[in-house]
Amino acid sequence: MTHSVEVFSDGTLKIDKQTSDDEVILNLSGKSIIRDSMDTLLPIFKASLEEAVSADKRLVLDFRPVSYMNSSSFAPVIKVLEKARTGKAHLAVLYNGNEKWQETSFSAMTIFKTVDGRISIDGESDDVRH
Amino acid sequence: MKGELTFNVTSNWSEIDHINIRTRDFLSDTSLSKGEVDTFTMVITELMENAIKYGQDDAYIEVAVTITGTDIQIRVDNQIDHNQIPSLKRLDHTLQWIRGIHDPYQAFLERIRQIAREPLSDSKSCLGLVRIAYEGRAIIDFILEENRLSVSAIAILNSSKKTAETSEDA
Repeated sequence: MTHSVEVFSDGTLKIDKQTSDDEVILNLSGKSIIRDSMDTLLPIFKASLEEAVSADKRLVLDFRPVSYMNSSSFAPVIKVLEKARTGKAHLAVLYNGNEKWQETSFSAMTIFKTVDGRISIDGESDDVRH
Repeated sequence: MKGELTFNVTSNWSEIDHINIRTRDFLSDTSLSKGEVDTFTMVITELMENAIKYGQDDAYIEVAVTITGTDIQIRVDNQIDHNQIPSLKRLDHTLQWIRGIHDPYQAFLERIRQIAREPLSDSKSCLGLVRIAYEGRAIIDFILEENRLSVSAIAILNSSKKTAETSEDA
């Protein structure tokens, strides 16, 4: 696992990236109240997805430490899930199922899950990757 | 359980985090559960975001939150920017659409599917209103008089539902 590199920070939301032998991981923390999330978050998600695909790795979007997300911030998540679903990328979205707001919003994203596990939406509070 | 919060803020996106913190602090001081505090902080913040998006820059936005024994009523009033009339038509269309789908969860799923299919250039998410209806279980309405927009959201509190159920059981 590489050291964590900050790829985004606006004072309320922070995104750190780590890579391992088989994963590219984006760790999100803080609050996402971005107005133009399609212009800010989506390019980060898409670039990381492309990086993961080209290295034959899985992209992990970890939202568990996020304390608040506005609805605009969900649109880039939906877009990257759809991009992965219609392609060959491996993508995991992690959320905290013990937080009611995360469970309510992210559990609806399970419509993107694939039966082969290529795309997963996991609502575990602990690290489900181990 | 009862409580009331009213305040005015300028229509500026930089206010959103302060509003989010202020409303969370207010709701946390009531007897609402943590889940309800999270939910209605989201409802208020989403309505404020819409008010800022559609409102005149730097005009005042009036916010009123009232918690009664049974429900929470949220009202956000602001002056709208005339250029945003098409956005208000979309707001009206979205509300009519939500009302036409009786299960807010199905409306939320359908809006997610729509966003997934839409070209990026069309992605005006409008997910906030659907989220308020689904996650907040709130009834949303709005009144436009001249250039003043008043948006309201009313939701029954879970704690009052539990009290009613307990009374019925007894």
